Amino acid sequence: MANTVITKSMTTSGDIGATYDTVLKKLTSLGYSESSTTWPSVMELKRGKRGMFATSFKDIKTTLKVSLKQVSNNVNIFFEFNFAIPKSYISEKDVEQEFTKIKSEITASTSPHITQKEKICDVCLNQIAVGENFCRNCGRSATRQKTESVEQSNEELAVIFDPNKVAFGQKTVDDALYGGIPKNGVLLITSPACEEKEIIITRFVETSLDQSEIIVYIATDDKFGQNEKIMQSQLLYQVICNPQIDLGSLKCSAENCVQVNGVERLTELSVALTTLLNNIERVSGQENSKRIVIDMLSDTLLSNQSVNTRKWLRETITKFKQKNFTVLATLNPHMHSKEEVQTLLDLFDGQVEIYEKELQGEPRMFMRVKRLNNSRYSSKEIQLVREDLLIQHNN
Amino acid sequence: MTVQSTQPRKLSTGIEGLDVLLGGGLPEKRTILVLGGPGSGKSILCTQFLKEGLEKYNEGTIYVSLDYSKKAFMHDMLQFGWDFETYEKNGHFLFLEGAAIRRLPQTAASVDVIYTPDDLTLEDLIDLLSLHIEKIGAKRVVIDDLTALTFRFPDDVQRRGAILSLIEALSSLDVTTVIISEALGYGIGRGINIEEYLSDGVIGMFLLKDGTRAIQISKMRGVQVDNKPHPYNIVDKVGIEVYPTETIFSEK
Repeated sequence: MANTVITKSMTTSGDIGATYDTVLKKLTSLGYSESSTTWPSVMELKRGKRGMFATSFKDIKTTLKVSLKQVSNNVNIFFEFNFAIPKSYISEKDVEQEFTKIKSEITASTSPHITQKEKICDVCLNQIAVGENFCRNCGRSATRQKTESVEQSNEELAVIFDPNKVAFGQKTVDDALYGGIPKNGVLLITSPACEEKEIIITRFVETSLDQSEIIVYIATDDKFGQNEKIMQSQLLYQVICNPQIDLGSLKCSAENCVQVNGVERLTELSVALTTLLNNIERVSGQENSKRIVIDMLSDTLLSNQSVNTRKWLRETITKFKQKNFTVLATLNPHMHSKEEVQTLLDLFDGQVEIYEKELQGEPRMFMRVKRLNNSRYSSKEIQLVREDLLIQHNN
Repeated sequence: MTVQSTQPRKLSTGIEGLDVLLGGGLPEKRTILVLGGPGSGKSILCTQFLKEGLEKYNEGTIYVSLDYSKKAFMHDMLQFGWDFETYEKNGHFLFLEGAAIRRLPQTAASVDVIYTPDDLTLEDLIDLLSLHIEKIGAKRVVIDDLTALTFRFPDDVQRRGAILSLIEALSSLDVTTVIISEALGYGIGRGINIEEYLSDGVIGMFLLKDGTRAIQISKMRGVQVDNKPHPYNIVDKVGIEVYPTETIFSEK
């Protein structure tokens, strides 16, 4: 028998930890029982036992999956109702009534702005300062209200942005940067080769596309070759610095893909980027916010002298900033001498460091914002857990 | 860098980026040298200059070739979509095939006078040009290339005298002339040709070690120009494309 899946969404203000608890409490009061949970982002609940012969709406065998995502000071909540009966047997009115009830109860129970209330960290129970939604003790942002308050905020899902920040779409990173990279800013991620960095970069690209922002991605390989969602987007412009890659085999459109003969010929690359920028300007205008990821800086530094690389990078950053781009670059510091890395650092407004260190005898990945000029950030060390990043990623 | 100029009337080269570097174009009625190695696109640049005069200003133009056959020229330029046979039929363009004059004494294809290789002197060339400039009302002239004309002057003093005579004569003909010559290397340490001192302007076209093409205006008398090297490309169906805002990152 075919199941019926109906999705709903809403946004409420507050922090994800407290909202999660409220949602779970309210759904339990509506007869749902907890099946599996991944606090504070996903919960799965069940209700009812019957299919076609259900005596009431509550009696229909239902699986409800709820996903939560923190966006700035708000939480986006996605509901996925899976009814074990065909669609024709479901009363839309009943579903709507059920959702309205859930929504109103959640809204009535969640607090408006966590910054206005006293909070504690869910992880270490440290007191969170008023005006902050981030634990300065452990670096986590999973905070909850000490006392609940009742206030407004009830709207259908609309992705909410901090207008002055460009979000990664990766909670861990966005929290540390207090929302993301300042718009039109230039951020460097220094990181060894690791999957955590790749997940963060991929999410940055996906978030750009989700938010209908144009993104230019410069690399020496076709990193998104298997990701159809990214590759087929008309908003992604790829510059591939590798003559060996067969552009014809890629799933991107020819207009959105530029190939140059490696990173050794910086002049050629620079000309190609200018041409690309002019094309983008014709399509989108100069005003809209855009992003660029320079993911071949280490190759460039290896192939060219640091003087030439610095000169090229400075011109490239200026060129893109003038056209309203926010710039993200990556560099593997283990490939270069300290002096070489130093020649590039001051070209960036901020630096996020990803590094490996031992924790309880096991190698773990951590990140830390080293600096972010003229902007708030948390300088705490945060552990990067691949699985957590992927969950945030999927949400 | 964009150069603002209040200098003599400029003739657009037909290459937007180069005009930016020149502050509008080549100064009128001057003799400009275009230097470069083999395959650098000197002939293409010069032909674009003639084409601009033909198409935009309906000016008469002359291409004097000492090494380049007319047939090859017509064929090569057609690859960029430039149909010089039609311009020739319309009477606005003249191809003076010096190669035929020098190599085949009895068959001077495009000219009325027949020369043997040894006969073709600079004086003859000037006479010939003078005749045809008047005949078609030419405003733009290209001489391709100077090395072939001056090879018979191994002595520097004689060579200098001959080139000076040619440049003076061309100036008196009221045309803007572009002379092609071979470059002796690239960069600060490269050898300087005598003609570079004598001409009114010098544009160098160079191929760098990594394959990057660079163009540089090292001299333009009485005119403010951007004299930094900038990248350029030879683009199919377009010709020479100069990128005046771009920098050369390559090693010389």
